[in-house]
Amino acid sequence: MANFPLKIFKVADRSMEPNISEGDYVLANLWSRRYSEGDIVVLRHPTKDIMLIKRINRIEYGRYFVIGDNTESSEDSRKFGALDPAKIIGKVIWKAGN
Amino acid sequence: MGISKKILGKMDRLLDFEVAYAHCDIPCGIYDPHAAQLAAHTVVRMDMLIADLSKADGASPETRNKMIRYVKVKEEHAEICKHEVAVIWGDYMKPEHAKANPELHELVWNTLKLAGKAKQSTDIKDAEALLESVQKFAEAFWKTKKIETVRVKSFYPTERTFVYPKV
Repeated sequence: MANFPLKIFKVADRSMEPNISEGDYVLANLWSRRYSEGDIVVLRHPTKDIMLIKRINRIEYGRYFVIGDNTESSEDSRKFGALDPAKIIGKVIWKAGN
Repeated sequence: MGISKKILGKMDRLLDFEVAYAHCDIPCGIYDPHAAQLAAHTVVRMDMLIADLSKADGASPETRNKMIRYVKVKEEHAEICKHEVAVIWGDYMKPEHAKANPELHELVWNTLKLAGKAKQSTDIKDAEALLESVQKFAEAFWKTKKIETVRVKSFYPTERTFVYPKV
């Protein structure tokens, strides 16, 4: 568990448009452990060493199916499947955008 | 820009915040139909070489080796061509592009089919049909960026044309 509950992430790319744009900053609560459908979360990519930001579309048997808001341009659970809860880093609670 | 974003932007320069990727095809935004055209030219060239080699003694190990290599390269480059077109179509093209060009989806579908046909065949007409379709796709791609194109004779042994953006 992270020592400090809040962490700022800079957003790259466009799969969360129109709600979150490239270059926006988001604040994530790293101590969140209860997520609901519709929550925007920061997560660890299942196979690459990078962080992703996606929205929880549905919860299936305790696993999270995440999709980008810009469904035309998003690599997400439609490609890599539902995620183990351990892959979710935190819940986005605030955004600084335009 | 919001005041909070401005402040965070300044903090970012000092603290280098970790990046959360919204889309993870890295690098995003780099698309070009050049590679698809190169691959289609290679398919044409392989059919030319196959036709030339067909006049030689087909039983010699050297001829058979060459033929297998030509077919292998033709197969690989038809697949590269399909991949390049499919990636641009799937990752770059947006609904507004299809709306502006109602023939876009059919053009892509035809191109992928023609790449398959060029694999199956050694008839240069099939390779030429693939090249023509890829070039139409290249023109459609640059049109989405409002960039004019020009078809010029390539410097390759295929002596067929190549679509370039006018920049």
